[in-house]
Amino acid sequence: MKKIISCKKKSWIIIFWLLVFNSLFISSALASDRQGTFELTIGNYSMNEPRFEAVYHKGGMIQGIGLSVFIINDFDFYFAMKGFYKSGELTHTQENTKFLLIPVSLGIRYSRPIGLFCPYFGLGIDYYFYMETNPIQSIINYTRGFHFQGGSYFKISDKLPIWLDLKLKYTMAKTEENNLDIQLGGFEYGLGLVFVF
Amino acid sequence: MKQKMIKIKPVLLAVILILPISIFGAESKNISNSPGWVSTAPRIAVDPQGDIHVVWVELYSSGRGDFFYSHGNPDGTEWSAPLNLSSSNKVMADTCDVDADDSSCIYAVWIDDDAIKLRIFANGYWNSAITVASGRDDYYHTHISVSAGGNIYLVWWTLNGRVYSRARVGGSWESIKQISTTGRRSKVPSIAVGNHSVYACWMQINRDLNIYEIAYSHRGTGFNSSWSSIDRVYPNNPGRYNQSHPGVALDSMDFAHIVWSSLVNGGRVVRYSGGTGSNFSTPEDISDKRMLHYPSIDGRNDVLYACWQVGAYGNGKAIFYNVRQGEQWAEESSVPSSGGSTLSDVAASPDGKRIHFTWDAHDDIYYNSVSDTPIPTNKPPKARFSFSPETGIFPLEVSFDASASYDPDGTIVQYSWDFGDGGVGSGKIISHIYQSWGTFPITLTVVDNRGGEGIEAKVIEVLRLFQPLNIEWETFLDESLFSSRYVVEIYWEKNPKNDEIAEIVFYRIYKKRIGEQNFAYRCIGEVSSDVFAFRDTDVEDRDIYVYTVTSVDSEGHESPIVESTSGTSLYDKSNKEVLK
Repeated sequence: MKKIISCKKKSWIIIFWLLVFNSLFISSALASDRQGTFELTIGNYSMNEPRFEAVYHKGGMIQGIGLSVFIINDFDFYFAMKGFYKSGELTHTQENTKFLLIPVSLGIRYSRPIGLFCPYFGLGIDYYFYMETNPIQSIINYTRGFHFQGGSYFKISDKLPIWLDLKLKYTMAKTEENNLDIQLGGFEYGLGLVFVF
Repeated sequence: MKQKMIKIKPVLLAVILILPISIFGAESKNISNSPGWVSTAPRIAVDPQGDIHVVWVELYSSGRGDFFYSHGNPDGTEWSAPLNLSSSNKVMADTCDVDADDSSCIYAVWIDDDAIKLRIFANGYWNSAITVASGRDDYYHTHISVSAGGNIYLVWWTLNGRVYSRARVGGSWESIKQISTTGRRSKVPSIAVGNHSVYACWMQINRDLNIYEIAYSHRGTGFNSSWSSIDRVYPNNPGRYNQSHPGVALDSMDFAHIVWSSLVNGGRVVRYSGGTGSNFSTPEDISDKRMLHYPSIDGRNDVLYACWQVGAYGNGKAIFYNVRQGEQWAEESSVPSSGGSTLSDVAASPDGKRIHFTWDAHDDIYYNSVSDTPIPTNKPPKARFSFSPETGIFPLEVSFDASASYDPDGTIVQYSWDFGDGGVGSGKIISHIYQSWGTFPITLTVVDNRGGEGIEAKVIEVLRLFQPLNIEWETFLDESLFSSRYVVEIYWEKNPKNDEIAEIVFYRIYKKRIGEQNFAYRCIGEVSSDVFAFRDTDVEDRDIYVYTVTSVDSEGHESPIVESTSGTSLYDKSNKEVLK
């Protein structure tokens, strides 16, 4: 728990400084085309863990929301929370097992508008809340990880505040349960509907 | 009785008198001492002190006579001079009778011309005669039985073929009652009183067969108790043999014992039947087949004494007797020095050790006794039993019934069981639960009232269900993303042996740790009979358990856990493990 608390403290410190940056450079933001975005995303998540594949087979759909706030000079801060749910079978008895993963991501992103495109690259930290329920055991826990991502916004029209987002993300988030090291992170790609404000 | 009036020549009389004495070597005592008169129809009774009382009729040349009485000491060695109780010269030739109550009062009854008379000896005196019945000149064969308390019960018959009875209960005389059926000629009655019942029996004509049969009726001892409907002692009379001259005695249980003479092919036999209510036993012969007449019976301490005359009427070879003890009659014997006899009677001493006889012979009344009462050889009881069910699956409750056991000459007093599995029991009907399977010898031992034993043995096969065949198991690793466990899959095959025994409805799965005894097996689940696999998910580790499976039928019977059931030791089972 100490680790968890220290991580939380660090996170809040980062958030705090981001907000400071945001308020300091609010004039710059107002000067640009946008101040922030709200995004609905849907994509595919593939966990980089053989045990996961043995039980839940391939990856699955992941969906969530994202929020970004312009900071300064093409940098913005982003927050995303998603949900990933899978149902599978135990390896021998084939009894049902359910898995729910809620990744929460925080990070900083650099983006540079080029015409209708606005490619970006970012990195950040993740909190992976997970739950597995089956006849063997029920587990609820979380772990920390980090990620890097890249993608691009597509402006549908200069007059519309709605963009599309195509992105790729890779996460590293390892946890330990029952003396087993489990890699919850993996590759994610998806599409987002972005509301610009 | 007219034959008795024939005068026998003195020389012949002497020969007749001497012969039996020389043959038997024991001396009979002439207690009538009435030369020139014909002494006949003696009856005998013994009072509680053992004194002997004999009555008879002395017939004079007129064909009528007087009623005499004499009493002897308990040994029968000293007798009083004959006492004329009638002094009427009108006494009929047919029978008279005598009895005693527990107060040693003596009751003597006779037929005096046109009346039946009774005199009672009490307090050292003979009371004056009481007229029991009068108005007819054809009374015959009056018999008397007196209860311990002095209640009097009488029977007689009349020439028109009817049997009558009259009783004095509590000092009050009942009216005369006809106890035979009008139209069915009845005669020669006998009567006996017990603790609560009175039985009378007599000869009754069976016009279909044109023979006489022994009929009986009974009543309570109370005042004016009704006589029962008339029944026959031996209605199933396959030989259609004529039955005559019954005598009856009651035992302490008011069980009636009747003897009579029966005409059979080539002679006569004395037959006995006992019973109560309307159920009398199949008659048994208690004498050899020969020429014989007039059986009499007495009972004392539930031992029966019967006597009869053997030989020609008016000149018998001897008085024969038999004793029934422990519900078995002995072999017949003859009374020493009892030749020349016709009518006889028997009575036992209070302790039953001496049997007193009286009879008429050579126109006199004789007395003799025997003390070596023949003891019947005990016939061992016959053990017979059945059990139900005859087989079944353990645990099996079996009911055993030994009601068919019997003792030919007594009663069975003990039933002992050995069930063959270590269990024992007692009682005529008993149940036992077999807790294991196998073939068990069952032994029933019965003991009769004289210590005789009878044994019967049978075998019961107690079945068991069989475990399924080829019980095997495998261990697997079962995993989720975060968790893992071992599971054991247990497999087996149906055992066709059970098809012949019962319908298997489910299988029960057990496990224990390796090295534990069989009693440590604990049930971990059940599956229906069409399933031949079970998964154990409560597995702490691999290679630490042994499994077995039992078969269970619809009644809850379960096959025992036998390691050799499937032909292979459970410990030798293949124990594969598949780990992913």
